[in-house]
Amino acid sequence: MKIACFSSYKEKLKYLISKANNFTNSEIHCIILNYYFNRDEIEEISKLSVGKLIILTNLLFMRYDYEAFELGLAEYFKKYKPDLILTTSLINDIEVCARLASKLDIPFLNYCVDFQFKDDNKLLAKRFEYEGSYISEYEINFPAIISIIPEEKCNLAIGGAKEIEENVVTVNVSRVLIRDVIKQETKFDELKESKVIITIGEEIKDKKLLPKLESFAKILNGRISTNKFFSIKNGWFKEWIGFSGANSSYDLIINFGVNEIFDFIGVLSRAKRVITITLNPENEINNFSDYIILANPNKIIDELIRELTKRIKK
Amino acid sequence: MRIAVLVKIIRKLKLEEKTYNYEKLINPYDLRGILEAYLLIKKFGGETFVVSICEEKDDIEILKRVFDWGVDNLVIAHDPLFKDLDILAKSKVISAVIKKIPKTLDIILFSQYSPDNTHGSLSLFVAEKLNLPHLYGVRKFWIEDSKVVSEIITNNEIIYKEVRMPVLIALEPVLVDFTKYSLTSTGKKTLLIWDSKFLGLKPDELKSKLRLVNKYPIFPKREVKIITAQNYKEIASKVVDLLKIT
Repeated sequence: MKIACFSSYKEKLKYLISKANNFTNSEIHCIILNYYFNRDEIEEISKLSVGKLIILTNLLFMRYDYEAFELGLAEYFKKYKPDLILTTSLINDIEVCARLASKLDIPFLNYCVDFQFKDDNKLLAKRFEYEGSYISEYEINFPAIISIIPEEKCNLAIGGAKEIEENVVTVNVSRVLIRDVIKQETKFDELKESKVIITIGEEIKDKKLLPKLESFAKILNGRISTNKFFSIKNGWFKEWIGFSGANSSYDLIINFGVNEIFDFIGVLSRAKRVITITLNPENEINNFSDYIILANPNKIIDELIRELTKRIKK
Repeated sequence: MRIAVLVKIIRKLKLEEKTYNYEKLINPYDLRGILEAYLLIKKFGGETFVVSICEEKDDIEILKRVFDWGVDNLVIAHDPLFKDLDILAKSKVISAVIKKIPKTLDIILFSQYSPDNTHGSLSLFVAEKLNLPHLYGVRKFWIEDSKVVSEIITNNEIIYKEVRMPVLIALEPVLVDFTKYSLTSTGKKTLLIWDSKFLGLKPDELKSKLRLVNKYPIFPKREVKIITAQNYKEIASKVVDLLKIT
Protein backbone atom coordinates (compact mmCIF):
# COMPACT_ATOMS: atom_id res chain seq x y z
CA MET A 1 0.00 0.00 0.00
CA LYS A 2 1.37 3.41 -0.94
CA ILE A 3 0.24 6.29 1.26
CA ALA A 4 1.06 9.92 0.45
CA CYS A 5 0.76 12.48 3.25
CA PHE A 6 0.16 16.08 2.26
CA SER A 7 -0.52 19.18 4.33
CA SER A 8 0.50 22.80 4.24
CA TYR A 9 0.76 22.78 8.06
CA LYS A 10 3.94 21.31 9.52
CA GLU A 11 2.49 20.03 12.79
CA LYS A 12 -0.50 18.51 11.07
CA LEU A 13 1.76 16.82 8.54
CA LYS A 14 3.53 15.12 11.44
CA TYR A 15 0.18 13.84 12.63
CA LEU A 16 -0.62 12.43 9.18
CA ILE A 17 2.74 10.66 9.02
CA SER A 18 2.22 9.16 12.48
CA LYS A 19 -1.20 7.93 11.35
CA ALA A 20 0.25 6.42 8.15
CA ASN A 21 3.02 4.74 10.12
CA ASN A 22 0.37 2.65 11.92
CA PHE A 23 0.18 0.60 8.72
CA THR A 24 3.48 -1.20 8.92
CA ASN A 25 3.52 -2.73 5.45
CA SER A 26 2.89 0.53 3.70
CA GLU A 27 5.25 2.71 1.75
CA ILE A 28 4.86 6.26 3.02
CA HIS A 29 5.54 9.37 0.99
CA CYS A 30 5.50 12.84 2.43
CA ILE A 31 4.84 15.75 0.08
CA ILE A 32 5.79 19.25 1.02
CA LEU A 33 5.84 22.54 -0.76
CA ASN A 34 9.12 24.36 -0.91
CA TYR A 35 8.92 28.07 0.00
CA TYR A 36 5.89 27.32 2.13
CA PHE A 37 8.06 25.56 4.69
CA ASN A 38 11.36 27.15 5.66
CA ARG A 39 14.72 25.33 5.59
CA ASP A 40 14.57 24.36 9.30
CA GLU A 41 11.08 23.00 8.94
CA ILE A 42 12.07 20.91 5.93
CA GLU A 43 15.05 19.62 7.92
CA GLU A 44 12.71 18.71 10.78
CA ILE A 45 10.30 16.89 8.47
CA SER A 46 13.14 14.99 6.80
CA LYS A 47 13.88 13.34 10.15
CA LEU A 48 10.48 11.63 10.23
CA SER A 49 10.10 8.03 9.26
CA VAL A 50 8.99 8.11 5.63
CA GLY A 51 10.00 6.18 2.54
CA LYS A 52 10.25 9.26 0.36
CA LEU A 53 10.20 12.95 1.06
CA ILE A 54 9.09 14.82 -2.03
CA ILE A 55 9.72 18.54 -2.12
CA LEU A 56 7.65 20.33 -4.73
CA THR A 57 9.09 23.59 -5.93
CA ASN A 58 7.42 26.46 -7.73
CA LEU A 59 7.66 30.19 -7.21
CA LEU A 60 3.87 30.49 -6.98
CA PHE A 61 3.97 28.47 -3.75
CA MET A 62 5.31 31.57 -2.10
CA ARG A 63 1.86 33.05 -2.02
CA TYR A 64 -0.16 29.93 -1.44
CA ASP A 65 -1.60 29.32 -4.83
CA TYR A 66 -3.92 26.35 -4.63
CA GLU A 67 -3.83 25.78 -8.39
CA ALA A 68 -0.06 25.41 -8.33
CA PHE A 69 -0.30 23.03 -5.36
CA GLU A 70 -3.00 21.03 -7.09
CA LEU A 71 -0.97 20.69 -10.24
CA GLY A 72 2.12 19.71 -8.25
CA LEU A 73 0.15 16.99 -6.50
CA ALA A 74 -1.41 15.83 -9.78
CA GLU A 75 2.07 15.45 -11.28
CA TYR A 76 3.16 13.49 -8.19
CA PHE A 77 0.06 11.27 -8.50
CA LYS A 78 0.81 10.55 -12.14
CA LYS A 79 4.38 9.58 -11.38
CA TYR A 80 3.96 7.50 -8.21
CA LYS A 81 0.33 6.32 -8.34
CA PRO A 82 -0.34 6.25 -4.58
CA ASP A 83 -3.27 4.20 -3.31
CA LEU A 84 -4.20 6.82 -0.78
CA ILE A 85 -3.54 10.52 -0.31
CA LEU A 86 -3.94 11.51 3.30
CA THR A 87 -4.55 15.15 4.12
CA THR A 88 -6.12 17.22 6.89
CA SER A 89 -9.59 18.72 7.19
CA LEU A 90 -8.19 22.23 7.42
CA ILE A 91 -9.47 24.61 4.77
CA ASN A 92 -6.23 25.19 2.83
CA ASP A 93 -5.69 21.43 2.46
CA ILE A 94 -9.31 20.77 1.50
CA GLU A 95 -9.20 23.50 -1.17
CA VAL A 96 -6.29 21.74 -2.83
CA CYS A 97 -7.31 18.12 -2.34
CA ALA A 98 -11.01 18.43 -3.23
CA ARG A 99 -10.04 19.96 -6.58
CA LEU A 100 -7.38 17.30 -7.03
CA ALA A 101 -9.91 14.49 -6.44
CA SER A 102 -12.22 16.12 -8.97
CA LYS A 103 -9.39 16.43 -11.50
CA LEU A 104 -8.32 12.79 -11.01
CA ASP A 105 -11.93 11.59 -10.80
CA ILE A 106 -11.25 9.68 -7.60
CA PRO A 107 -13.27 9.60 -4.35
CA PHE A 108 -12.63 12.17 -1.67
CA LEU A 109 -13.93 11.81 1.86
CA ASN A 110 -13.33 14.66 4.24
CA TYR A 111 -13.69 15.15 8.00
CA CYS A 112 -12.68 11.53 8.70
CA VAL A 113 -11.85 10.53 12.23
CA ASP A 114 -10.32 7.15 11.50
CA PHE A 115 -9.60 4.73 8.69
CA GLN A 116 -8.35 1.23 8.08
CA PHE A 117 -7.55 -0.93 5.09
CA LYS A 118 -9.95 -3.61 4.00
CA ASP A 119 -8.76 -6.31 1.59
CA ASP A 120 -6.16 -5.18 -0.93
CA ASN A 121 -8.04 -2.49 -2.74
CA LYS A 122 -10.45 -0.98 -0.25
CA LEU A 123 -10.47 1.44 2.61
CA LEU A 124 -12.94 1.72 5.45
CA ALA A 125 -13.17 5.27 6.74
CA LYS A 126 -15.26 6.79 9.52
CA ARG A 127 -16.30 10.37 9.22
CA PHE A 128 -18.32 12.98 11.06
CA GLU A 129 -21.76 13.84 9.79
CA TYR A 130 -24.12 16.53 11.03
CA GLU A 131 -21.26 18.43 12.61
CA GLY A 132 -19.98 15.47 14.51
CA SER A 133 -23.22 14.29 16.07
CA TYR A 134 -23.17 11.23 13.80
CA ILE A 135 -20.48 8.93 12.45
CA SER A 136 -20.76 7.31 9.04
CA GLU A 137 -18.61 4.45 7.86
CA TYR A 138 -17.76 4.34 4.17
CA GLU A 139 -16.12 1.72 2.03
CA ILE A 140 -13.95 3.32 -0.65
CA ASN A 141 -12.07 1.86 -3.57
CA PHE A 142 -8.48 2.91 -4.17
CA PRO A 143 -7.09 5.25 -5.29
CA ALA A 144 -8.72 7.79 -2.98
CA ILE A 145 -8.11 10.92 -0.97
CA ILE A 146 -9.24 11.27 2.61
CA SER A 147 -8.92 14.22 4.92
CA ILE A 148 -8.74 13.59 8.62
CA ILE A 149 -9.38 15.84 11.58
CA PRO A 150 -5.91 16.19 13.09
CA GLU A 151 -5.44 15.69 16.79
CA GLU A 152 -3.07 17.83 18.81
CA LYS A 153 -0.79 15.01 19.87
CA CYS A 154 0.73 12.11 17.98
CA ASN A 155 3.40 9.43 18.36
CA LEU A 156 6.13 10.42 15.99
CA ALA A 157 8.20 7.77 14.29
CA ILE A 158 11.68 9.22 13.91
CA GLY A 159 13.72 7.30 11.39
CA GLY A 160 14.56 9.79 8.69
CA ALA A 161 13.41 9.92 5.10
CA LYS A 162 14.97 7.11 3.09
CA GLU A 163 14.99 9.23 -0.06
CA ILE A 164 14.57 12.93 -0.71
CA GLU A 165 13.45 14.11 -4.11
CA GLU A 166 12.92 17.63 -5.36
CA ASN A 167 10.41 18.16 -8.17
CA VAL A 168 9.87 21.39 -10.04
CA VAL A 169 6.20 22.02 -10.77
CA THR A 170 5.67 23.45 -14.21
CA VAL A 171 2.67 25.74 -13.60
CA ASN A 172 3.45 29.42 -14.05
CA VAL A 173 0.12 31.20 -14.08
CA SER A 174 -1.96 32.07 -11.08
CA ARG A 175 -5.55 33.00 -11.75
CA VAL A 176 -6.31 34.00 -8.18
CA LEU A 177 -4.14 36.78 -6.81
CA ILE A 178 -3.70 37.58 -3.17
CA ARG A 179 -4.09 41.32 -2.87
CA ASP A 180 -3.51 41.67 0.84
CA VAL A 181 -3.28 39.69 4.08
CA ILE A 182 -3.97 41.33 7.41
CA LYS A 183 -2.80 39.38 10.45
CA GLN A 184 -5.24 39.29 13.34
CA GLU A 185 -4.62 38.62 16.96
CA THR A 186 -6.32 35.44 18.01
CA LYS A 187 -7.07 33.74 21.25
CA PHE A 188 -8.48 30.72 19.50
CA ASP A 189 -6.14 28.23 21.17
CA GLU A 190 -7.07 29.65 24.55
CA LEU A 191 -10.70 29.14 23.61
CA LYS A 192 -10.05 25.53 22.68
CA GLU A 193 -8.32 24.88 25.98
CA SER A 194 -11.04 26.40 28.16
CA LYS A 195 -13.31 23.98 29.95
CA VAL A 196 -16.19 26.37 30.50
CA ILE A 197 -17.68 28.37 27.65
CA ILE A 198 -20.31 31.07 27.83
CA THR A 199 -21.83 31.51 24.37
CA ILE A 200 -23.63 34.63 23.31
CA GLY A 201 -26.37 34.61 20.67
CA GLU A 202 -28.98 36.55 18.81
CA GLU A 203 -31.16 37.31 21.85
CA ILE A 204 -28.41 39.43 23.40
CA LYS A 205 -29.25 42.81 21.95
CA ASP A 206 -26.77 45.18 23.53
CA LYS A 207 -22.99 44.97 23.21
CA LYS A 208 -22.75 46.74 26.59
CA LEU A 209 -23.69 43.45 28.22
CA LEU A 210 -20.47 41.82 27.06
CA PRO A 211 -18.27 43.04 29.96
CA LYS A 212 -20.84 41.65 32.39
CA LEU A 213 -20.90 38.31 30.60
CA GLU A 214 -17.12 38.34 30.58
CA SER A 215 -17.05 38.82 34.37
CA PHE A 216 -19.53 35.98 34.75
CA ALA A 217 -17.29 33.75 32.62
CA LYS A 218 -14.24 34.83 34.59
CA ILE A 219 -15.81 33.78 37.89
CA LEU A 220 -16.35 30.33 36.37
CA ASN A 221 -12.82 30.31 34.99
CA GLY A 222 -14.27 30.22 31.51
CA ARG A 223 -14.33 32.23 28.30
CA ILE A 224 -17.08 33.96 26.42
CA SER A 225 -17.54 33.23 22.77
CA THR A 226 -20.21 32.80 20.17
CA ASN A 227 -21.23 30.61 17.29
CA LYS A 228 -20.17 31.41 13.76
CA PHE A 229 -23.36 33.13 12.67
CA PHE A 230 -23.55 35.59 15.49
CA SER A 231 -19.89 36.34 14.96
CA ILE A 232 -20.40 37.08 11.27
CA LYS A 233 -23.60 38.99 11.81
CA ASN A 234 -22.54 41.53 14.39
CA GLY A 235 -18.75 41.42 14.42
CA TRP A 236 -18.56 41.45 18.25
CA PHE A 237 -16.19 38.50 18.23
CA LYS A 238 -13.20 37.66 16.08
CA GLU A 239 -13.34 33.99 17.04
CA TRP A 240 -16.16 31.53 17.41
CA ILE A 241 -16.82 27.98 18.36
CA GLY A 242 -17.74 25.95 15.36
CA PHE A 243 -17.01 22.77 13.58
CA SER A 244 -13.26 23.31 13.80
CA GLY A 245 -13.70 22.85 17.54
CA ALA A 246 -15.08 19.39 16.90
CA ASN A 247 -12.32 17.77 18.90
CA SER A 248 -12.85 20.07 21.86
CA SER A 249 -14.89 18.73 24.69
CA TYR A 250 -16.10 21.30 27.18
CA ASP A 251 -17.20 20.53 30.72
CA LEU A 252 -19.87 23.19 30.67
CA ILE A 253 -21.49 25.38 28.02
CA ILE A 254 -23.93 28.08 29.07
CA ASN A 255 -25.83 29.54 26.12
CA PHE A 256 -27.16 33.05 26.48
CA GLY A 257 -29.82 33.61 23.85
CA VAL A 258 -28.20 31.44 21.18
CA ASN A 259 -30.74 30.54 18.48
CA GLU A 260 -28.70 29.26 15.56
CA ILE A 261 -27.25 25.80 16.02
CA PHE A 262 -25.73 25.15 12.61
CA ASP A 263 -21.95 24.71 12.93
CA PHE A 264 -22.51 24.27 16.66
CA ILE A 265 -24.23 20.88 17.06
CA GLY A 266 -20.98 18.93 17.29
CA VAL A 267 -19.61 21.12 20.06
CA LEU A 268 -22.89 20.98 21.97
CA SER A 269 -23.07 17.20 21.58
CA ARG A 270 -19.60 16.78 23.04
CA ALA A 271 -20.07 19.06 26.04
CA LYS A 272 -20.59 17.30 29.36
CA ARG A 273 -23.28 19.73 30.47
CA VAL A 274 -25.26 22.33 28.52
CA ILE A 275 -27.41 25.03 30.10
CA THR A 276 -29.47 27.27 27.82
CA ILE A 277 -31.06 30.57 28.76
CA THR A 278 -33.48 31.62 26.05
CA LEU A 279 -36.71 33.44 25.45
CA ASN A 280 -37.71 30.95 22.80
CA PRO A 281 -39.39 27.73 23.95
CA GLU A 282 -39.15 26.37 20.38
CA ASN A 283 -35.42 27.08 20.13
CA GLU A 284 -33.65 24.20 18.39
CA ILE A 285 -30.76 24.47 20.81
CA ASN A 286 -33.12 23.30 23.56
CA ASN A 287 -32.87 19.78 22.15
CA PHE A 288 -29.14 19.80 22.75
CA SER A 289 -29.35 21.14 26.30
CA ASP A 290 -29.58 19.46 29.69
CA TYR A 291 -31.31 22.43 31.27
CA ILE A 292 -33.44 25.12 29.66
CA ILE A 293 -34.23 28.35 31.44
CA LEU A 294 -36.99 30.24 29.67
CA ALA A 295 -36.05 33.78 30.57
CA ASN A 296 -34.66 36.94 29.04
CA PRO A 297 -30.88 36.45 28.91
CA ASN A 298 -30.40 40.24 28.88
CA LYS A 299 -32.07 40.59 32.26
CA ILE A 300 -30.71 37.62 34.14
CA ILE A 301 -27.00 38.41 33.99
CA ASP A 302 -26.86 40.91 36.92
CA GLU A 303 -28.64 38.51 39.24
CA LEU A 304 -26.42 35.65 38.12
CA ILE A 305 -23.22 37.53 38.91
CA ARG A 306 -24.64 38.63 42.28
CA GLU A 307 -25.69 35.09 43.23
CA LEU A 308 -22.50 33.48 42.01
CA THR A 309 -20.29 35.98 43.87
CA LYS A 310 -22.39 35.47 47.03
CA ARG A 311 -21.99 31.68 46.92
CA ILE A 312 -18.25 31.88 46.25
CA LYS A 313 -17.78 34.25 49.20
CA LYS A 314 -19.67 31.81 51.43
CA MET B 1 -23.81 40.09 -16.01
CA ARG B 2 -24.97 36.45 -15.87
CA ILE B 3 -25.00 34.78 -12.51
CA ALA B 4 -25.87 31.23 -11.48
CA VAL B 5 -26.70 30.28 -7.92
CA LEU B 6 -26.60 26.69 -6.79
CA VAL B 7 -29.56 25.87 -4.58
CA LYS B 8 -30.04 22.68 -2.67
CA ILE B 9 -33.09 21.11 -1.14
CA ILE B 10 -32.10 19.88 2.29
CA ARG B 11 -33.59 17.56 4.79
CA LYS B 12 -33.08 19.46 7.96
CA LEU B 13 -32.48 17.41 11.05
CA LYS B 14 -35.32 17.90 13.46
CA LEU B 15 -35.44 16.36 16.88
CA GLU B 16 -38.95 15.44 17.90
CA GLU B 17 -39.54 13.61 21.13
CA LYS B 18 -36.99 10.83 21.04
CA THR B 19 -36.61 10.42 17.30
CA TYR B 20 -34.77 12.28 14.57
CA ASN B 21 -37.03 13.53 11.78
CA TYR B 22 -36.44 15.61 8.68
CA GLU B 23 -38.22 18.47 7.01
CA LYS B 24 -37.55 19.51 3.39
CA LEU B 25 -36.64 23.08 2.61
CA ILE B 26 -34.32 25.23 0.49
CA ASN B 27 -30.93 25.42 2.19
CA PRO B 28 -31.33 28.71 4.10
CA TYR B 29 -27.70 29.62 3.39
CA ASP B 30 -28.31 29.42 -0.38
CA LEU B 31 -30.62 32.41 0.01
CA ARG B 32 -27.55 34.56 0.51
CA GLY B 33 -26.40 33.63 -3.02
CA ILE B 34 -29.85 34.52 -4.42
CA LEU B 35 -29.72 37.88 -2.65
CA GLU B 36 -26.14 38.64 -3.79
CA ALA B 37 -27.14 37.77 -7.38
CA TYR B 38 -30.26 39.95 -7.15
CA LEU B 39 -28.28 42.96 -5.91
CA LEU B 40 -25.59 42.55 -8.59
CA ILE B 41 -28.13 42.23 -11.39
CA LYS B 42 -29.94 45.29 -10.10
CA LYS B 43 -26.69 47.24 -10.25
CA PHE B 44 -25.13 45.91 -13.45
CA GLY B 45 -28.08 44.37 -15.33
CA GLY B 46 -28.23 40.82 -16.65
CA GLU B 47 -29.97 37.63 -15.57
CA THR B 48 -29.90 35.01 -12.86
CA PHE B 49 -30.07 31.24 -13.05
CA VAL B 50 -30.84 29.04 -10.09
CA VAL B 51 -29.43 25.57 -10.61
CA SER B 52 -30.49 22.58 -8.56
CA ILE B 53 -30.53 18.80 -8.56
CA CYS B 54 -33.93 17.44 -7.63
CA GLU B 55 -34.06 13.94 -6.30
CA GLU B 56 -37.84 13.90 -6.03
CA LYS B 57 -40.50 15.57 -8.12
CA ASP B 58 -42.09 17.45 -5.21
CA ASP B 59 -38.76 19.26 -4.69
CA ILE B 60 -39.54 21.21 -7.89
CA GLU B 61 -42.54 22.89 -6.22
CA ILE B 62 -40.37 23.94 -3.28
CA LEU B 63 -37.79 25.38 -5.68
CA LYS B 64 -40.33 27.45 -7.62
CA ARG B 65 -40.34 29.84 -4.66
CA VAL B 66 -37.11 31.33 -6.02
CA PHE B 67 -39.14 33.14 -8.69
CA ASP B 68 -40.57 35.35 -5.93
CA TRP B 69 -37.04 36.41 -5.08
CA GLY B 70 -36.11 37.94 -8.42
CA VAL B 71 -34.72 34.83 -10.11
CA ASP B 72 -35.17 34.78 -13.91
CA ASN B 73 -34.41 31.14 -14.70
CA LEU B 74 -34.73 27.96 -12.70
CA VAL B 75 -32.75 25.07 -14.16
CA ILE B 76 -33.40 21.71 -12.57
CA ALA B 77 -31.56 18.46 -13.11
CA HIS B 78 -34.10 15.73 -12.47
CA ASP B 79 -33.72 12.08 -13.34
CA PRO B 80 -34.01 8.76 -11.45
CA LEU B 81 -30.23 8.48 -11.99
CA PHE B 82 -29.64 11.59 -9.86
CA LYS B 83 -30.74 9.95 -6.61
CA ASP B 84 -28.23 9.41 -3.77
CA LEU B 85 -25.28 10.68 -5.76
CA ASP B 86 -21.87 10.97 -4.17
CA ILE B 87 -20.06 14.29 -4.35
CA LEU B 88 -18.09 13.37 -7.46
CA ALA B 89 -21.24 12.41 -9.37
CA LYS B 90 -23.09 15.52 -8.11
CA SER B 91 -20.30 17.72 -9.40
CA LYS B 92 -20.60 16.05 -12.82
CA VAL B 93 -24.34 16.73 -12.96
CA ILE B 94 -23.99 20.37 -11.87
CA SER B 95 -21.12 20.98 -14.28
CA ALA B 96 -23.12 19.42 -17.11
CA VAL B 97 -26.06 21.74 -16.30
CA ILE B 98 -23.87 24.83 -16.17
CA LYS B 99 -22.21 23.93 -19.47
CA LYS B 100 -25.65 23.57 -21.10
CA ILE B 101 -26.73 27.07 -20.07
CA PRO B 102 -26.30 29.17 -23.23
CA LYS B 103 -23.61 31.87 -23.12
CA THR B 104 -20.91 32.04 -20.48
CA LEU B 105 -21.77 32.75 -16.87
CA ASP B 106 -19.72 35.42 -15.11
CA ILE B 107 -20.23 34.27 -11.55
CA ILE B 108 -21.37 30.97 -10.05
CA LEU B 109 -22.38 31.21 -6.42
CA PHE B 110 -22.45 28.37 -3.91
CA SER B 111 -23.00 28.34 -0.20
CA GLN B 112 -19.91 26.88 1.41
CA TYR B 113 -22.02 24.55 3.58
CA SER B 114 -25.57 23.45 4.13
CA PRO B 115 -27.05 22.52 7.50
CA ASP B 116 -27.25 18.86 6.51
CA ASN B 117 -23.72 18.72 5.15
CA THR B 118 -20.88 20.61 6.71
CA HIS B 119 -18.20 18.99 4.57
CA GLY B 120 -18.28 21.86 2.09
CA SER B 121 -16.34 20.57 -0.89
CA LEU B 122 -18.92 20.35 -3.70
CA SER B 123 -18.14 23.87 -4.92
CA LEU B 124 -14.46 22.93 -5.25
CA PHE B 125 -15.31 19.80 -7.23
CA VAL B 126 -17.50 21.83 -9.60
CA ALA B 127 -14.88 24.57 -10.02
CA GLU B 128 -12.38 21.92 -11.09
CA LYS B 129 -14.81 20.23 -13.48
CA LEU B 130 -15.53 23.63 -15.11
CA ASN B 131 -11.86 24.62 -14.99
CA LEU B 132 -12.76 27.83 -13.18
CA PRO B 133 -10.80 29.60 -10.47
CA HIS B 134 -12.56 29.63 -7.13
CA LEU B 135 -12.85 31.82 -4.06
CA TYR B 136 -13.71 29.79 -0.99
CA GLY B 137 -15.29 30.83 2.31
CA VAL B 138 -16.01 34.35 1.10
CA ARG B 139 -17.45 36.75 3.65
CA LYS B 140 -17.76 39.73 1.27
CA PHE B 141 -17.12 40.29 -2.41
CA TRP B 142 -17.45 43.14 -4.84
CA ILE B 143 -16.80 43.89 -8.53
CA GLU B 144 -13.95 46.05 -9.78
CA ASP B 145 -13.99 46.24 -13.60
CA SER B 146 -13.94 42.62 -14.75
CA LYS B 147 -12.51 41.39 -11.46
CA VAL B 148 -14.11 40.00 -8.36
CA VAL B 149 -12.43 41.03 -5.12
CA SER B 150 -13.20 38.98 -2.03
CA GLU B 151 -12.64 39.17 1.69
CA ILE B 152 -11.99 35.88 3.46
CA ILE B 153 -11.64 35.73 7.22
CA THR B 154 -9.79 32.91 8.97
CA ASN B 155 -8.99 32.53 12.65
CA ASN B 156 -5.92 34.72 12.38
CA GLU B 157 -6.00 36.49 9.02
CA ILE B 158 -8.16 38.63 6.77
CA ILE B 159 -7.25 37.74 3.18
CA TYR B 160 -8.18 39.80 0.13
CA LYS B 161 -8.11 37.86 -3.12
CA GLU B 162 -8.88 39.02 -6.63
CA VAL B 163 -9.72 37.06 -9.73
CA ARG B 164 -10.99 37.78 -13.21
CA MET B 165 -14.46 36.57 -14.12
CA PRO B 166 -15.71 33.92 -14.78
CA VAL B 167 -15.27 32.65 -11.25
CA LEU B 168 -16.93 30.27 -8.83
CA ILE B 169 -17.51 31.69 -5.35
CA ALA B 170 -18.29 29.63 -2.26
CA LEU B 171 -19.92 32.03 0.17
CA GLU B 172 -19.51 31.79 3.90
CA PRO B 173 -22.93 30.71 5.15
CA VAL B 174 -24.91 33.62 6.51
CA LEU B 175 -28.63 33.80 7.14
CA VAL B 176 -30.20 36.68 5.22
CA ASP B 177 -33.41 38.52 5.86
CA PHE B 178 -35.19 39.05 2.51
CA THR B 179 -37.77 41.39 4.05
CA LYS B 180 -35.14 44.13 4.24
CA TYR B 181 -34.57 44.14 0.48
CA SER B 182 -38.06 44.03 -1.07
CA LEU B 183 -37.11 41.45 -3.69
CA THR B 184 -39.52 41.35 -6.59
CA SER B 185 -40.29 38.85 -9.30
CA THR B 186 -38.83 39.71 -12.73
CA GLY B 187 -41.77 38.27 -14.59
CA LYS B 188 -39.51 36.12 -16.75
CA LYS B 189 -39.72 32.91 -14.72
CA THR B 190 -38.31 30.30 -17.08
CA LEU B 191 -38.40 26.77 -15.71
CA LEU B 192 -36.16 24.21 -17.38
CA ILE B 193 -36.03 20.57 -16.32
CA TRP B 194 -33.15 18.58 -17.77
CA ASP B 195 -32.59 14.83 -17.51
CA SER B 196 -29.46 12.69 -17.82
CA LYS B 197 -30.01 12.10 -21.54
CA PHE B 198 -30.27 15.82 -22.28
CA LEU B 199 -27.18 16.48 -20.17
CA GLY B 200 -25.27 13.68 -21.90
CA LEU B 201 -24.57 11.80 -18.66
CA LYS B 202 -24.29 8.03 -18.64
CA PRO B 203 -25.15 5.79 -15.64
CA ASP B 204 -21.55 4.57 -15.37
CA GLU B 205 -20.24 8.12 -14.91
CA LEU B 206 -22.54 8.65 -11.96
CA LYS B 207 -21.84 5.38 -10.18
CA SER B 208 -20.88 6.02 -6.57
CA LYS B 209 -17.28 5.39 -5.58
CA LEU B 210 -18.22 5.45 -1.90
CA ARG B 211 -20.44 2.91 -0.17
CA LEU B 212 -22.09 3.80 3.12
CA VAL B 213 -21.85 0.74 5.34
CA ASN B 214 -22.91 2.08 8.72
CA LYS B 215 -24.23 5.21 10.41
CA TYR B 216 -24.74 5.83 14.10
CA PRO B 217 -25.12 8.76 16.52
CA ILE B 218 -22.11 9.45 18.71
CA PHE B 219 -23.97 10.87 21.65
CA PRO B 220 -27.28 9.87 23.15
CA LYS B 221 -30.05 12.44 23.17
CA ARG B 222 -30.05 14.54 26.33
CA GLU B 223 -32.81 14.37 28.89
CA VAL B 224 -33.92 17.98 28.78
CA LYS B 225 -35.15 19.61 32.01
CA ILE B 226 -36.95 22.96 32.02
CA ILE B 227 -36.21 25.24 34.96
CA THR B 228 -38.95 27.65 35.95
CA ALA B 229 -39.10 30.36 38.61
CA GLN B 230 -41.10 33.40 39.69
CA ASN B 231 -38.46 36.08 39.21
CA TYR B 232 -34.90 36.65 37.97
CA LYS B 233 -33.44 36.32 41.46
CA GLU B 234 -34.93 32.87 41.83
CA ILE B 235 -33.82 31.88 38.32
CA ALA B 236 -30.27 33.03 39.07
CA SER B 237 -30.26 30.99 42.25
CA LYS B 238 -31.43 27.88 40.38
CA VAL B 239 -28.84 28.36 37.62
CA VAL B 240 -26.07 28.71 40.19
CA ASP B 241 -27.36 25.53 41.85
CA LEU B 242 -26.83 23.77 38.53
CA LEU B 243 -23.25 25.01 38.42
CA LYS B 244 -22.67 23.07 41.63
CA ILE B 245 -21.00 25.98 43.39
CA THR B 246 -21.88 25.89 47.06
